[in-house]
Amino acid sequence: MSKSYLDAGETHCAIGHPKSVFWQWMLTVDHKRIGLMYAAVIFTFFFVAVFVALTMRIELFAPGAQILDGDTFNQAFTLHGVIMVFLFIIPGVPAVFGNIVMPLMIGAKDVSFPRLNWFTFWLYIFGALIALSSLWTGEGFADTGWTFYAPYSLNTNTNVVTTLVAAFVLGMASILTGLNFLVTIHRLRAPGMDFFKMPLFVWGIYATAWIQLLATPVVGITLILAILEKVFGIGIFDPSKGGDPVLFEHLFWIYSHPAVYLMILPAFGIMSEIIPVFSRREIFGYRTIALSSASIAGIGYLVWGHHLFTSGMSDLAKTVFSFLTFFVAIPTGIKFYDWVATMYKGQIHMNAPMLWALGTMVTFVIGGLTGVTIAMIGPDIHLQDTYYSVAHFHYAMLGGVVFLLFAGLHYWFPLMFGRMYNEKHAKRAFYFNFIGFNILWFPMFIAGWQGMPRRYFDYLPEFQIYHQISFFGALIFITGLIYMFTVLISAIKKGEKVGPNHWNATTLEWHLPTSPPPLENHSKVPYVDFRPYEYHHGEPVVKFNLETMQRID
Amino acid sequence: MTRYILVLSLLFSFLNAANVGMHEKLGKMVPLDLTFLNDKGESVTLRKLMDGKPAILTLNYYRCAGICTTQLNDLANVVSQLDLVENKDYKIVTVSFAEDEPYQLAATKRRNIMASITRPYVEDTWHFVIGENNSSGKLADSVGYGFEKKVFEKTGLTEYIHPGVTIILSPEGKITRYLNGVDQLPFDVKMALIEAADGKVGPTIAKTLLFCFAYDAENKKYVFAWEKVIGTGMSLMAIGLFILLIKLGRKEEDHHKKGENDE
Repeated sequence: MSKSYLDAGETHCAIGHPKSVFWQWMLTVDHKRIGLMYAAVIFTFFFVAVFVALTMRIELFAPGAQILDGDTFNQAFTLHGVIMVFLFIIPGVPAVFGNIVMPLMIGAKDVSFPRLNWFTFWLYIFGALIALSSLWTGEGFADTGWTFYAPYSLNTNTNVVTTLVAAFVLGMASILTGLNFLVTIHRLRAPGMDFFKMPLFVWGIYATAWIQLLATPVVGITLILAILEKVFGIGIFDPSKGGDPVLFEHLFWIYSHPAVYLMILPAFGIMSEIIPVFSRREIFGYRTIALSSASIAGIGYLVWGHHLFTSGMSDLAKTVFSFLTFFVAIPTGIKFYDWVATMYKGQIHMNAPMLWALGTMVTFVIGGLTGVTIAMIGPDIHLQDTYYSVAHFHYAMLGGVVFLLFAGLHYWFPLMFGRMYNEKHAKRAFYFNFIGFNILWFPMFIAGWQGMPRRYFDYLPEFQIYHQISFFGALIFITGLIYMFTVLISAIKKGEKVGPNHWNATTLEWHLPTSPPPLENHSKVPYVDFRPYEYHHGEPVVKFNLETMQRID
Repeated sequence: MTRYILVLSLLFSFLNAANVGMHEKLGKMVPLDLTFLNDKGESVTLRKLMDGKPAILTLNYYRCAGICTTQLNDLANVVSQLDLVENKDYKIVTVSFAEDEPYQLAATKRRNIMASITRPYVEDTWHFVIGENNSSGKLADSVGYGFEKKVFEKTGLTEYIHPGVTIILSPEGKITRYLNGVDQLPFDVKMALIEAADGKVGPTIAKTLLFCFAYDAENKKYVFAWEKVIGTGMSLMAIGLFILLIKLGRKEEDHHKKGENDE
């Protein structure tokens, strides 16, 4: 029986050739194994942050302090934000699927710098440990919110410096991942595969890699400046020392807003993979989707100012930032129309990945369009820092990026493990999640519109109804999450064995000689003289002999 | 020492009159038709003295026992080091605002100062003039230079309380810079002259310099524009990486050409 990358001994290691299976995993440079390890760590952190969020929801069930006091609540939402943003969603799709799937999609044996990839993973773990260490040392976890706004972050006694160092190290890991993927995509594509023959997920990863490489250093510098100010008292951001707090906000968002696109672009890539496969139709407007990824990455750099409409900015700057923000909606809209057009007259298969993708179309459109309302200067003055913006970015990030991450998890699960989960249960889990999600977040739009401010542990009695509806939504949502992960995790060992191309997909990652794939991937390097999503009468056009990688269609 | 004198004289000026000191008039024009007596006693217009070039203007008086000599010696030192072409890229006009000084004094001062320049220097660049018909007073007014005459009764000497400043004029006579103090850095003077020329006569290197250094109006100095330089550096690196990746293309040796993958 041929071996897969999950079997003992089937890996290359960064140092030596260890006999123990444990060390084979710890030292592995195989992109698929590294991706799996990222997945394990990232989803663990996800659940930690989810339970922190649940604690906050319980606290908010009634006005006044119940289980958390005000200070602890501040630390709780900071912990939730820091974990979700820096440890889960920013590495998220690129670290997991960028690693596992991207090299397979372009017909490469691994990424360009496998050892750097290994180092990056452990750098990420190191950063995560620093972040968590501040929970139990000193004055406790930072209470600033994940944005660390100055001057408060410079004056609070909580462990802000540790958290900033952690964010810096994690940023470093992000830069190295970006660099690695960038070089891989340029250098290791299969012969014949030009940029417009690449699968769209690779385009998403490519656009993301540029953002990782170019924007992350800005936040690194900002965090270092904040540390310098906090430790040595150099006046950079604190006005009492002659600094400028608005400068911090600018520098912070120059990274953190492109970071939002860094999260969503590879997630859109997953959508672009799933829609044609489960519609059995070639994707509509391939080039427009590919180029819209690039233009979202480009425009996304220039819109950070919309976070500062209420922080003091000239009217001209506000207007410019507002309009630039509207422009991001254009390439995003193009993608959505392309996906809908792909489904039109297709043979739609309602499998679990497709359900997640379609669900995301609903939630992300709500998240995206509510974003346009707060990109307008007038409404933003009213809605800034209310539950409306909280609901908006959870619809966009959770209902966009995370839902698509789950969609990818369901889509590539048979590829990763060579086994299939129970689809009936997976679909049920989706409905739990989808319904719970909407009940959880939608009331917040209304509460926010009526003036419920974010980051408060207490509130006026008239908001109670919205918090209580949200609470029940949260219970359903968390049930759905546990359900979904139970279905998936149990399938890793017990799922039904499936062949290399379970979904009848067309891209190269489904044309591997074994299931799960072997070490070093394709048996021979394929020649790519076809478009990535060619279907004819619901069947893939391109067929390979999986041993020789010669076309047999 | 020079700073000490400067501070002292400024202190004096504040003590004596509110009018004494600099009242900056950036962007205003000086009347180029004012006439002055040069060191040969000829009457010439400021326009002729500047000869259509950016100019360094200093207001002094030649008998000055205070900061004037220090300032002019420093300027001589600066122009010795300045890597602009004298008489082509700039002119220097030193005007005595003391109406009672004879032009011969200007000639003496000129000889002394020119002798202190440490390299061969086109002498026609630097004019030492005195006012006629109160032209120096009008010039001082037009650049906002406030000074006061003071007769010391004990000694019977006439002295002036005045600020020390180097003023840069564009070829059209527009005031573009005030460089305060009596000791300047050649760099600051060069930047000011290049800017005064409005970028038209500046060599290419000057444009790069202008990009990298910005005038900090509050502190009256040129400061290194690190944001711009680092930003440009980063952008160039990113573009460089992109070009490199495009040029390198795919890594051919790892792959096989079409039809050769059946080995």
